[in-house]
Amino acid sequence: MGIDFEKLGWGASTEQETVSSDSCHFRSMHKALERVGGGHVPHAAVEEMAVKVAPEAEVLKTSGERRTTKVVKAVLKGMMSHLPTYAMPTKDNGREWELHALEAIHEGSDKGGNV
Amino acid sequence: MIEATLLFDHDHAFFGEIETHGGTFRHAMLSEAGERRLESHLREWQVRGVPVLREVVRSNVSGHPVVFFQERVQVRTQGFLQAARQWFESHGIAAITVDRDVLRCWSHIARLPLDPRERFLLLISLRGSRRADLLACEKTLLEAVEAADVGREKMTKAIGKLWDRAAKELVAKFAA
Repeated sequence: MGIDFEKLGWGASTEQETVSSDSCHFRSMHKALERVGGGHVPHAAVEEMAVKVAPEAEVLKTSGERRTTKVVKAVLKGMMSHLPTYAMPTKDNGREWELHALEAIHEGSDKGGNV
Repeated sequence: MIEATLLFDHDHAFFGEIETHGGTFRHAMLSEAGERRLESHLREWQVRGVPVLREVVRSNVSGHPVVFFQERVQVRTQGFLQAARQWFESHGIAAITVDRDVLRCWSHIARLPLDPRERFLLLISLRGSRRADLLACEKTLLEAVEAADVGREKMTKAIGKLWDRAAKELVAKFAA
């Protein structure tokens, strides 16, 4: 039996972490100014613009990461259907999967196998 | 024979890799989280050895009480891997020893935008696969890595354009 990625939650977008900070946005703004060959722009104006643009940049980042994750999971989907199913959880029984996985580890360990 | 043992915490965060040869320690590469959790222990092990709890049954007049004692297994001995595995297990760290084919697959998996649990899941699944399947899986994983790189590049470009537009707006405002 193959793996149901929808059940796994792999078909859906995952939560993305937000790593950007104010200083990161400020740096991005500065770099962009360098790229476009900007002249003298007051520090306060740069900061203000960075704060203004930051939310949109965050949205682009989050949606971009989600899209990328979806594409990657779509690529992996075919492969996953050929893998052993004992370690495969459904979204609802992740705990059960963990136990299966650990059992597998211990079994291998007992046999002195590839663990 | 060289063995690679991948280490994960109970949340499946990757702690790093320990390379051994016939059970003897060769070197370790730790992630940031792994350094925080394990670096001091690894340093200590290299000096004093890995602490291992042993048990013996002693017979005396009152019965057969089990006595535990601790001994140290030196990293340059063949017992290192087994001792380290025992230590990891008792400290809630999953130690997964993999062969070269699975290790190569892991190096691709680690680059994919998946959460730690999904990466761990993939690793466990691949570890139980036949070699022929593994080679096919590696090809797919490489495709996934390429797809991820393309996606990240697109995202970076889009964000760059956004900042450039804002920069141009600023420049125009102060040039006037």
